[in-house]
Amino acid sequence: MKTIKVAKGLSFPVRQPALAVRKVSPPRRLVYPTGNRWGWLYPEVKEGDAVGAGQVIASSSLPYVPSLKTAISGTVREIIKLPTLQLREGQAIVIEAAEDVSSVSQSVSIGEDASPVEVFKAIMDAGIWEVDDYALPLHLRVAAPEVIEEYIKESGESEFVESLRNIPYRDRAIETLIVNALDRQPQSWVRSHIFASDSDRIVAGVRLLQRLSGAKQTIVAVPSHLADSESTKKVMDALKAEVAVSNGKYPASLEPILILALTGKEMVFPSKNSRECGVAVVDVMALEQLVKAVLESNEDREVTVQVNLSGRREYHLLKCPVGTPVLHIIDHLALNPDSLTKVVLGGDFLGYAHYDLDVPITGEVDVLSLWDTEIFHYKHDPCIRCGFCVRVCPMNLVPAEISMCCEYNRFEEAVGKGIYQCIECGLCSYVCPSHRPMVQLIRHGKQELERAREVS
Amino acid sequence: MKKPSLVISPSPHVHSGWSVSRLYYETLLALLPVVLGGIYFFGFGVLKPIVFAVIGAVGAEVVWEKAIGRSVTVYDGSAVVTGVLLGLLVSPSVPWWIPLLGAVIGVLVPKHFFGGVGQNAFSTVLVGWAVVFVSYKAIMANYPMPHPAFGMVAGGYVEYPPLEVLKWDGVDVIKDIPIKDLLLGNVPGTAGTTSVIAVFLGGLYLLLRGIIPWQVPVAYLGGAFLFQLVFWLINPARYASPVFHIFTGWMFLGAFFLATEKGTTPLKPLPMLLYGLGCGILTMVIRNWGIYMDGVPFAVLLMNALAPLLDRIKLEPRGRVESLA
Repeated sequence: MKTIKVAKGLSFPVRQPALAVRKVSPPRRLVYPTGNRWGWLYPEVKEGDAVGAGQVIASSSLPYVPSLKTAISGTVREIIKLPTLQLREGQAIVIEAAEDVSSVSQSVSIGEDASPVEVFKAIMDAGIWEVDDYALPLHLRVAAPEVIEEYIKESGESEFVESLRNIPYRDRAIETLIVNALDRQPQSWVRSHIFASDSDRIVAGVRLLQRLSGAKQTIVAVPSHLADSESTKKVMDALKAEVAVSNGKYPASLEPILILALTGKEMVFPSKNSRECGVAVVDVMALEQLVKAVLESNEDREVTVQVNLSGRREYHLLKCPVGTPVLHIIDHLALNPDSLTKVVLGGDFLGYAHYDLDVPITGEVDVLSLWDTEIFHYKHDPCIRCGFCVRVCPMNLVPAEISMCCEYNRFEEAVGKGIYQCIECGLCSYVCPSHRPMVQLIRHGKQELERAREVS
Repeated sequence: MKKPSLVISPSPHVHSGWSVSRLYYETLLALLPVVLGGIYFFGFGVLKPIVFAVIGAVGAEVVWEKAIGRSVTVYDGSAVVTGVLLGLLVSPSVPWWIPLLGAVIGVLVPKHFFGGVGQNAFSTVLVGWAVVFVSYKAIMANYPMPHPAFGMVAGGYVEYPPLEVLKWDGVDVIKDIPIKDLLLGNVPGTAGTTSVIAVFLGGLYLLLRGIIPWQVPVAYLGGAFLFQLVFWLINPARYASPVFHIFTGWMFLGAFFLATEKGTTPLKPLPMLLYGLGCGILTMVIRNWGIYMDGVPFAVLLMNALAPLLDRIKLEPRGRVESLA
């Protein structure tokens, strides 16, 4: 067993509470945002249409935006304005449950012995949204170049296929497949829970991806408290995979750090395309979704989400269908929405604060944090040059200098100091005694640089 | 339904709880053993310069910030730390205005003239100390004896701090000073510069709490030790042993408290090591061949000036950047 060594970073005491998974009462009203981290989707339904569970309700003409499927049968009630998880202004499709509509699964269901191209197609059609900030969606990230090539040959000419040809580093072979069972951030236990409780699905999912990628090496990254668990043994025996144990440091679970720690390969920035170095990372949440959708033709699209009542140190693990609005979960937990001060989807370190309680739980959300207490505010106090941020930055940057460059609009200077290599783990801001919004400024700098590039 | 008003902010949404004031109050806590050790060996008199230095530092900060219309930051504790450290470096027998003047200069000139806490390129404590030391040499060259109950008598071998003895009487005389007295602090000198154990306790606390980087004290003490070791091996009749030098005078206080002052140290690991190494070597150079008794204050001040230059040594970020079309 290997150990995942993370240089710098920060150790957080692991005191995992015993969490039982509960099912949320089925919501009558589901909300589907028509955009994710990879781009926008176009609604394929109108208001008043009847839709069946498993039906594609929004899709994209681009191959790297996974489509959107409804988890329940019902009617399209309305199309509303709603930000995506990443807080980009967009639209969302609201579906109200109705019993008289039968489900119409549009998934391609395959057997365990399907050919790689069939697996590729099935994953593409399954529309899997993932939590981590990957450059490419699952099927494009993992597929071997021959598989994509074969798919292109089969499908004939179209705009879709044309843009598939332009996927960066499409011709790189995938040598290593990394299965990520490490919890994404402190105070989050969804992945270790899924790994411990659903190892059969993980084995089945990894087998599919092994076939799709043709990877010679499979490494399973597990948190230290699961190192000797039954599921680790099971996964190890079934997959003949190497197991790497994390020493509990954040951000060991983030893609660039994980790849560096396990394979010694450095990723390319800013695209963060793991194909470039011949590695594909897939987390266990995506694997569970994948197996449910592709092998089991299960259209309930249920995801596990952890709800943290952060002010009270209370944690819940809930199962709910994709599209469940946050408000439904708040009602389920019998909380008063008016007493909430902050709602964060995606965790304390990496998540997004939302103002609209219609925002749903999707595959992109692992943790929902709710605050009803005072909120911590970052402020623009001067840097006192204590060096705390340098000591924790896992990418070996000097966040204090980069953020100061961004603060004073010297973005090109920030590039020289490595702004693109920042993985936005948030540790610099977390430890800063001056409460400077460092990663926030760096993010702002990246956006400005991106804008400058688009203009030029 | 009335929509709740929710706070929107970019991630991270949590904070470790560190703050500038906590940083300085914990430093103050780390100075407690040093102050207590001083009181133990020299009596309550050591509190006098500390009190006046704190009054000077805090007063100067408040008056200056009010005068130029800044928000008063005196509650963050940085001025108090400057005051206490300066008070520990001054003999109780000097007139009250000496620590006061030193603290006022130390807080105003290197710190507030350049923008406040953390903006000081030079150590506030050492600038304040250096100004009064150079200006009032005769007054400052005056060191208390430990309480007679500890076995020191006037006219004995150590009427002066051990380094002064070394300077005037040579290597042979300091051989009589037991290492135990050096460690405990049972030698003449100012409260902050005598007890190695008390300073080490405080420094260890700062290290374990992560307030100071380990690179600076380790490189400082290691650099001084190795440098002196070479010369001691070459000519033990002329140069004192490295062990004596490490455990004497300002060395530990310099390594743990003075060289690590926020704003004056480089930020990156390798520059911090070089900075510590430079401090250690310069200290030994001044001690061996300089006119001053102890090399620490001027060594640290000189390295303060070099710190921004050292910090230009690039820390290689992980990951590669693609050429952007």
